[in-house]
Amino acid sequence: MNQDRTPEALLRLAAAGDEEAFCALYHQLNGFIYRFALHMSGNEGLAEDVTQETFLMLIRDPGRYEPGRASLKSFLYGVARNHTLRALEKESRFIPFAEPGVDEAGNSLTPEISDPRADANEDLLRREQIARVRRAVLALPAVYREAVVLCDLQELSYDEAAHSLGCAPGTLRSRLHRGREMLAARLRATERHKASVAAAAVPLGGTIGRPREEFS
Amino acid sequence: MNCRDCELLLMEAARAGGASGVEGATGPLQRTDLEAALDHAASCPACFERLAEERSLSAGLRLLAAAEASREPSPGCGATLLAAYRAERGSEVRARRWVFAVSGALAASLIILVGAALLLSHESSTLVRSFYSKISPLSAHGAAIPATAEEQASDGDSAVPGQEEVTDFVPYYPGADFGSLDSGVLVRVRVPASALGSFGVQVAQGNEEEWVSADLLVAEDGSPQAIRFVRPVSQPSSN
Repeated sequence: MNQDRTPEALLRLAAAGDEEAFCALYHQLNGFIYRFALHMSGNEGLAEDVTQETFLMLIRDPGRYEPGRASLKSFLYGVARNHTLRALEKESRFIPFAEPGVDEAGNSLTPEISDPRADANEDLLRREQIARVRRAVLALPAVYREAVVLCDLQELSYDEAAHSLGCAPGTLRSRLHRGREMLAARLRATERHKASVAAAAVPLGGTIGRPREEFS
Repeated sequence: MNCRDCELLLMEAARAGGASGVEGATGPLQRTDLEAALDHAASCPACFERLAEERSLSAGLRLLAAAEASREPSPGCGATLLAAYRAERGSEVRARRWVFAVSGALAASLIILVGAALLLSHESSTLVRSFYSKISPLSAHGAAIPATAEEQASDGDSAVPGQEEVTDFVPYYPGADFGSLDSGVLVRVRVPASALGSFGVQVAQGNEEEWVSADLLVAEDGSPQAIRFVRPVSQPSSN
């Protein structure tokens, strides 16, 4: 990346009044911040509010970022994290009943990962798996959820994520490990539940259908 | 390596991804550790199962991350922020302009004040000089100052500015040894003509009421030592 187009350089320019630099900075980082808040809350409105608040802070007080301490991205994750946790604390109802990424009409808002070879069944299974993982992540306690979101979904390094969360890298690693354990346990439980539902459905299907050979 | 030592390393191996599970290792030491953990998992059914679960979990998380990789806030969010940016920068520019305007006004006021002060000071010094010239106009080394000349001009219409006749110095008090003075100050004063008599200077009858100029020789200790009388030189009338 061009040295002049790093987020830090763009912030300097934006703070000096360069509107184009501000736009470039926003386009570079808005997705990360939005997705972090979305994974943390499962709520698009909240995620958008958090994104807005995070960048508003940058507009109003760009001096709050100290370049020597961490990357601008880590700093913004930290700001977004504080906004998200405050909002979640205030609005606990934001853990939605409906699937995130689905509009009121039930249409998916999640962009397709295009794989022309995948048939409808595979696609359905993949969507189900994504929804299960998403629900399991949202069900984690915040302290473990943020570790999983930053390290596994946002793919930050331990140092970057630890800086965003204001803890030591070792602490973060422990939280990630514990979070993944809880996540795996929840997914196992979901699988067991799904299997038991499927098993209960088999006799019902058996009574309705007739073996094909009976007609032959 | 035992199962407990393996726990975190198996998580790292699963997160690192790849067929071997060590591609994402951050250094040679970690790579060695990961290889050791994977070797252990190959021979330990519990750790093998754990590694499989970790890998499955990582795959699920990657799937979720990929599914939402292109999720972004609505265009309205960007537009709102851009408007906020413009408003903030606009207010900063306005604030800067305001500061420039105020500081400019202050600087202008300061210049006017200094100018007025200098003007007043010049005028007051002129006034003071004019005032002092009435009572004791200074004249170093016997040179006449303009105020005196003006007065001389006002004393007599034909007086020539800067030209005057002086008498010899006479002791200011009996026994004053002004001839031995190394230095002193000559102070131009105005005295009544009637005072001339006390210094042995004759005054024409009827002129006692007039005022005449005199130079007072003052010693360094401030005591007057001698006095001489000054008369403007009258220019002969042309008609």
